[in-house]
Amino acid sequence: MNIYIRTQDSDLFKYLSDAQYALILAKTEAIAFEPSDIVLAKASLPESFIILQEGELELTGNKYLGSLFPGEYYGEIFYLEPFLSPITIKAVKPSKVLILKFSAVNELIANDPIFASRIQAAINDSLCLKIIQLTHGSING
Amino acid sequence: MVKYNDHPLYCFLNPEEKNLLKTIVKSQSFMAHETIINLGERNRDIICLEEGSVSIQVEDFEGNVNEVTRIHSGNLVGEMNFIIPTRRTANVVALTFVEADIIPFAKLCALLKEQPLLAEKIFSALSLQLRDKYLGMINA
Repeated sequence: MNIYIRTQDSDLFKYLSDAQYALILAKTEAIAFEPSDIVLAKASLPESFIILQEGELELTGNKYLGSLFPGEYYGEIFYLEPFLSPITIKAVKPSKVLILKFSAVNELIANDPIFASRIQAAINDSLCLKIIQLTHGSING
Repeated sequence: MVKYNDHPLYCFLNPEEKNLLKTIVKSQSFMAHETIINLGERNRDIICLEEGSVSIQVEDFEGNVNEVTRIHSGNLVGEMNFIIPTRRTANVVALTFVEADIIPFAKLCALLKEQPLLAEKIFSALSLQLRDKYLGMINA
């Protein structure tokens, strides 16, 4: 994003100050997954961001949609207006995931537009990159 | 956040915020067949199609022009370029008379830096547009 500078490694928290990062990290819950474990089931109603810390996750819908690597996350498409997931996310390696509930984010950013705009800017970056990845995937077959 | 309407960029803005944004918006008309964006340009303005339709076109290695898709009024053009710094990746040509709101990149960035609540609302509107584009691709 053009108006903020990246300050954190994690893609969702990239534009947060150290103090904001500490606040939001305290709201996360770490969960371990083994290969082939389902992290997000298709047709479930997502309530959280899924932030990958270690390992690798695979996204599938009607076809392979990409992979998540440490520092990347999923759930941004459900954040503003939740709906049933059109995709499944599965662990392909032993993975450690941070779960961050949308409701926890909303509590933190309520009445704090600086915090909110920085989270939203990171979400837009991620959506653009996912669109670009899919575009390249379709071009390259 | 209150959603006031379905406009692709102004949907979360109250009348005062919309007026604030309007101070930097340039309304521009294009005739049918007129080029609005040229492939390779570094321009990063956001274009809201208020009226009319455009064709998104790319050229193959032999110089043949291929239409990728059409975008109609009520949608944005160039929003990904606003977020990610790349050259324009396609030509955008008016199919009909087009009335567009053009939001200049530098002026919008300056305004959003000063107005974090406006930034949150504009970014949220962009997020819904990007989400729909992404969902269209994964469901294709």
